[in-house]
Order: sequence, then structure tokens, then C-alpha cells
Amino acid sequence: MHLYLPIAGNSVNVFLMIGLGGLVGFLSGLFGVGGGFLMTPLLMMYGIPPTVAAASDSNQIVAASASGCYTHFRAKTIDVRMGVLMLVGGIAGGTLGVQLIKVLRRLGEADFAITVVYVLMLGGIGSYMFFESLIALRGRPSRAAAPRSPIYRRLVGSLPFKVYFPRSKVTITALMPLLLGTLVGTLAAIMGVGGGFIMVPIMIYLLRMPMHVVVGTSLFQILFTCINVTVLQAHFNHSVDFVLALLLLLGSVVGAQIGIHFGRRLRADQLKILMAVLVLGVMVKMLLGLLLRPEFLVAYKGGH
Amino acid sequence: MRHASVAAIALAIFSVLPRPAASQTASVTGDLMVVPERVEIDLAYNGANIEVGAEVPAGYEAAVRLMSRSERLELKKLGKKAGLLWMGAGTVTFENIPVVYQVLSTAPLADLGPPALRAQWMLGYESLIPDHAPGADLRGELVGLKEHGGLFALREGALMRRGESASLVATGADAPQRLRGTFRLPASAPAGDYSVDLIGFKDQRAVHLASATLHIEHAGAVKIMRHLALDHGLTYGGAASLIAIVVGLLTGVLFRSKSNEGH
Repeated sequence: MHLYLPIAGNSVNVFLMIGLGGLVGFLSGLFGVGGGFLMTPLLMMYGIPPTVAAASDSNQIVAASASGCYTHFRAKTIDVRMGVLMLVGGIAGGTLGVQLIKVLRRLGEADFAITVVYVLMLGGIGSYMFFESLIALRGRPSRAAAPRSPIYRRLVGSLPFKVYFPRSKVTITALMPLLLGTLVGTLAAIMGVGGGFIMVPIMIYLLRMPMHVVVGTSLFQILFTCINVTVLQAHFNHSVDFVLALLLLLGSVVGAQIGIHFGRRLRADQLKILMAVLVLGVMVKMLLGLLLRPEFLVAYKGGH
Repeated sequence: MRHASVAAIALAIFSVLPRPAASQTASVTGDLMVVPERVEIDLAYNGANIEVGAEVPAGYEAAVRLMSRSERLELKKLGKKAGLLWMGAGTVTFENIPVVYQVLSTAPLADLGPPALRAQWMLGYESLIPDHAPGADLRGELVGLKEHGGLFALREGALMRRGESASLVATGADAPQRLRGTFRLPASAPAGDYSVDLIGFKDQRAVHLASATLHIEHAGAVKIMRHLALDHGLTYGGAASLIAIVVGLLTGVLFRSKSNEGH
């Protein structure tokens, strides 16, 4: 059974799209990630124009993260204060990112720089998380549990606007979540990803938030960041295909709930090592994209 | 299925209708019929089969060419840099490239006539991007990309003669030949008017025999949604977000109540 997508200008298999949404929603509920890093490339492989794939994916992430947020909100595992600060940064970053896309469309090589930075960032974060969690699972004290280096502490300690976050039980400068939110918002718009799989490790290691609050708070800020991206993409680039988003979100909202319930049965370290494997998997996939010869030596412009 | 039946009936009628024999006409002529002539893109649209019925004078080979509007196509060129990484290596621009280009023929194109003759009638990819044209070195890559998406196709030998068919009226040696073939348009073929041309070949010469137009247009919910998305983007984006939030929250509530029932 196929449905025609009015904006993408192509038709898709209904059940395949719902299934894809379900898989990505599961990851979203389990790890607090949006899943765009997986969804957008898959949609592009299916023949959806890159800009439509990224924008419509943002739209479906809104549904999956709303579904997850509701459950986390009831369970009191969202640090709203931290989330709002990240959100302010996220909206600023998203607005910046949407404008950047217009510039990037005219530059054929910008995607390469973005991909390389992305691969290095994912490789670094994923490797650190993996080995740190592995050590913790073997019962040895991990570096994350140890106090941060004096330079890091001095740097963070010297920043103004310190705020206490009762839900996370940390005192930190409000500038940190603001800046990190801006970074994630920009990535969401440019790459068609929520940025959760960068935000989650950052919240664990840099903001020192407890794991059970991290997932809910990540989903909270992803929800509002993606609403902003969806509206801006629809307004400026006319690239949101709601029929596509609807198919994906029908699967993802259910998948997100299953992911949340599954995640509750895992210990924090188990969850972290699975997240590390996911991050490294994405990194390897992107690296292969750079190393393997593409099927055709020309491509439609606009993809990343 | 319904479209296929209508096409089959229409072509059957076309094939049995009496026509003047080629020898009776002063100039060489042919007939061309496209079924359906109008295609509506609605939510259930998944591409279309366009049936073609043609009549050409005895002794002629033939080709039917289907083409959409042409455009200036700018593509990203991929190349290996630093001997290791595949990346964007600038852009390549092709001029006057049809978005959709498909050809059905009774014989291999090379057998129909010399390259210059085929180029004159825009038959074959070399005629779309001649050797001296910008981007000619990447012609194969462009064609591969387009064929992969089903937008370009050369189906040599897929324009079938129907002389042996029992359903047709008996034809003599000088009687016109009736031909039939099918274009497969992918769902990604854009809306617009497509030109369909029948070209006959004999003794290294070509003659334009007939032409038709295929109209593809948006309809129903697809038309409405495109209007909203393109002309009222802000409202459309807001509504899309709102619906996504409502669906997400409803699912959360539903799962919570299910979860509570279980306890």
C-alpha cells in the first residue's frame, strides 16, 4: 500500500514508513535521542529529497518527543529549569541553522566539512562513553565518577550566572546549557537531527546530571527545538511533508513508549554502553560514506 | 487495474478502427494514441503506466519519445580528495535536460539510423548531452542517476508490432503496422505537460509521424496540501507541529492508562 507525498513529490510504502518510525521512536524513548541521524539518511535512500527528509523528520520528532515527555513528566524525570535554558539556546541555534541551510544549498562542499566534524565528534564522544561505561560495568571506579580536572573546574567555576538545579542536584553556570542548546539547535536544522546523541553524553559528562533525568530532559528540549525547526522550515523552505511526517510519527509515538518501558529495566551503565554503541555505529556509517565510492559521481544538491 | 482495463479497451478500439492505408495518402503519416491522456496525482498515486498505440506505414521502424519540460540541472560533483575521502568536488551544470525522458522503439536505436539522424530527433542520451556539451564527461553518471529513479529509460524493442495478434483485423503486406508499448512513469515524475512523439525510420531517413500530449496534474488532497505548504507555510508548519504534539500526548496518555490497567 502506497501513499503519495505532496511535498516530497514521490510515493512511499505506508507500512515501511510506519515501521521505520517505530524503530526510531524506540531509540528515542530508550536513549532520549530524536533519531534523525538514522531517519534522514534512510529517507534519502528511499528517494525523498534531502531537504524534505530533514524537515519532515523534525516534524515527526515533535510527536515522538511529546509522547516521551509526557511519560517522563509524570515520572518527574525532567529537569524543566535545565531544559528551558537549553531550549532558549536551541531556538536561537535552530533559527541560525535554518538560515545557514540556505547558504549551504549554494555551496557544494559544505556538507563534507560538516560530516568530518560530525564523525570526529561522534568518534570521540562514543569511544569515551564506551570505555568509561565498560570500566564501570566491571566494577572499577570510572573517571566520570572522579572529580573533574582542576582546569575544567576552574574554567566552569569562573563563569558567572550560577544556578542550582534541584532536579539534577547540580550547581552550574546558566551559560553552559544555553551554549550547548544553541549547538544542538543548529545541528537540528542543518543535519535534520535532534542532536540528542550529542546532548545526552554532554549532560552526563559536562553538566553532571544523573542518568534518569538526562533522557527526559533531553526529550524536553528536543521537543521544543524541533517545533521551532518545523515551523521555520515550513515557512522559509516549504520543505515539510506532513503526510510523510504523519506516517513516521504513527510508528514513532508507539516506539517511543516501548523504548521508555524497556529503558526502565536497564541500569544506568547498561544504558550508557548501549548509547555508546549507537553513537559509534552512526560514526562508522558516516565514515563509510566518506570512504566508499558512491554509486554515482553526481548527486542532487541539498543533501548532507 | 481500472486504468489498465480502460487502456486495453481504448487501444483495442484504436487497433480495429478503419483508417486509410498509407499508400492512399499523399504524404507519409501515422497515428498515435496515448492512454490515459490525463493523469491525476492524488494521495493514492504511485506512478502510472502510459499505454501507447501507434500506426506507422509498412516497412518503417519506429520510436516513440516521451519528454517533459527541460531544465537547467545543476548537480553536485563527487570526487576523491587527498586520495582517500569521497566528497563534493564542485558542481556540474547540464543545459536543457528533460526531467523525464523515455523512449520506446521497435529496434535498437543504433539500427534506426546514423547518430546524426538520431540526434536530430533527440533519440538516445548522446542527443541530450552531446560530446561537446558542458558536463558530457559525466553523461553516464547523470543517466545512471536518472535511470535509477525511473525518470530516464530507453526501451529498445519494447514498441511491439501487433500484426500477429488474433484480435486485430487482417493486414496485408502494404497495410500500416500497428504498434503498442508502455511507458512506466515513476511517482516522482513531476506534474506538467509531456510531449509524446512518434518518429518513423526507413532507408536511413526519419519522418515525424504524429504527436500527442500527456497531462499530469495534482488533484484532491495533494493539491490542497501543496497549496497550504507553498502559499501558507507558517500556518501549515504550525498546524503540522500542533497535530504532532496532540498525537504524541494522546499516545502517552493511552500507554499510561494501559500501563495502569496492568497494575
